[in-house]
Amino acid sequence: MDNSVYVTLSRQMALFRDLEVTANNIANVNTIGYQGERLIFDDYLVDGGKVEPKLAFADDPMSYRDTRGGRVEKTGNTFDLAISGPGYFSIETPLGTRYTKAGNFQLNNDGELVTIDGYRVLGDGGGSIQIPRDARNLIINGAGQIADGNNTLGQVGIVEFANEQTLERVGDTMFKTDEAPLGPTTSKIMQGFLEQSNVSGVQEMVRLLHLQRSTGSTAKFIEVMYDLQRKTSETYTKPTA
Amino acid sequence: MRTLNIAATGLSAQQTNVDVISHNLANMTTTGYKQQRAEFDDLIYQDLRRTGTLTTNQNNILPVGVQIGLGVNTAAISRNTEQGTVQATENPLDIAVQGRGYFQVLLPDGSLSYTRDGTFKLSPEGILVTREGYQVEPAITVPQDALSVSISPIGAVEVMIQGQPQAQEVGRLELATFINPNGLQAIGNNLFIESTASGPPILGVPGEQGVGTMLQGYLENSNVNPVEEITQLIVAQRAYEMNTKVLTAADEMLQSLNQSV
Repeated sequence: MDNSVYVTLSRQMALFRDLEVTANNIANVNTIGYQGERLIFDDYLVDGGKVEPKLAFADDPMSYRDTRGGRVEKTGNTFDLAISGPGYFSIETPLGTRYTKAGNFQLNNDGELVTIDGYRVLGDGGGSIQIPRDARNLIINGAGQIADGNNTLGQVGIVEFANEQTLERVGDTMFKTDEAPLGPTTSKIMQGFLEQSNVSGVQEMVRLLHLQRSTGSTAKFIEVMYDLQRKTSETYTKPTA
Repeated sequence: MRTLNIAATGLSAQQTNVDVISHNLANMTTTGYKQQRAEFDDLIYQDLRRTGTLTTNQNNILPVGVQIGLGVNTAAISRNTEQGTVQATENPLDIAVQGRGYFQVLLPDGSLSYTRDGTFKLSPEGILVTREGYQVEPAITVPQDALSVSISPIGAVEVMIQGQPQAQEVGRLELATFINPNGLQAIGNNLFIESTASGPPILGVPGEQGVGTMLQGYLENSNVNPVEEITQLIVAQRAYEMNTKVLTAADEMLQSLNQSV
């Protein structure tokens, strides 16, 4: 059987998977702390035997996260925190510690700092962060220390990772990993700011166009291949007059 | 086919975003209104190839896998409780709160609600009420023969009565604070009610323990910043457009696929 259609099909399938990744990036173009996802394509070589050269099938063995910082937007809210640098906030969830770039925090009715999904934000030492109800003017500095006037109330934890790519997405803009978190080196907290999604609309649109055209051309290729096969069989099976 | 659903989640999220922005713009001049913001979360991920699986028999593991996200959802619509600008009205019964705290308003069903809108009036009986006629708690009655009413920063309401040289105190306004004011439930008419998320109200004397002070003759404007809202509107509109583009692109890709078979 002719392999060319299958090689094209592998490309076609990879294109559709790329489309899904692009669609998810665009859907999250306004999601606080979201980082874009990219697929990496590879060729998968198959020995075509003595006559044919090696065949290169398209394969998408991995996707990676774009870890560049998103645009930082001023909100002026006390509990809106953005991290400049490669750091993450630690979040306590029923399934274990999770990490996030989204710093749109709130207080729950116990006065603890929580994410919008209600999970507790972990402090420097690993416990939750309690804000007294009579706090007047909360200042959170670059290192994450929370102060009300001269009283220090705690410290928002920042963690960094040796390899950010090992962090796995779990939804709700959170990540999980088995890698041990490290202390902050260059990461700094900015109070009253939020890190927006780092998805670039223009790039995604160009990608979309590219995907669309590529599907068209691969589909065309398959069509041509079938046409050839049809013509071949027509020619050779034509009854002789 | 996932793409179509992913784009659909993006479209509905941006629709919500525009809804919230238009609500903010519509309430740009509403006394005591607090700007709202739609916040989004990415949906769950499908692991098509899990991180850490073996790639070859030489103990090579996949450093990163393939994760396909399934779109976006609206996680919350939170309120920005920053102080709004304060505007002079010269009306003695207009009160602005500087800092934290809500006025308490008695609803007709006997329960309490809370507001930042200090546009108060007097009822025919001389009781301090809101524009809707709901009584302000604690009840303050201004005598019929009062010449003037003055409200101090700490909430003491004093009246001057003809023929009496000294002002008389007729009551003290209190402010309710919440540990999580963002969690209050809006019920319209600038009123909020307590919820599990907001925590119970903590009554306080204005000016003490982090509670705000009162400013007579002023009103607190909404804290909506029109420039910010319009910028957000453009962002939301463009994001919406991009998602529709994804829909068309996916549709055309599927179409070209269907034509070839």
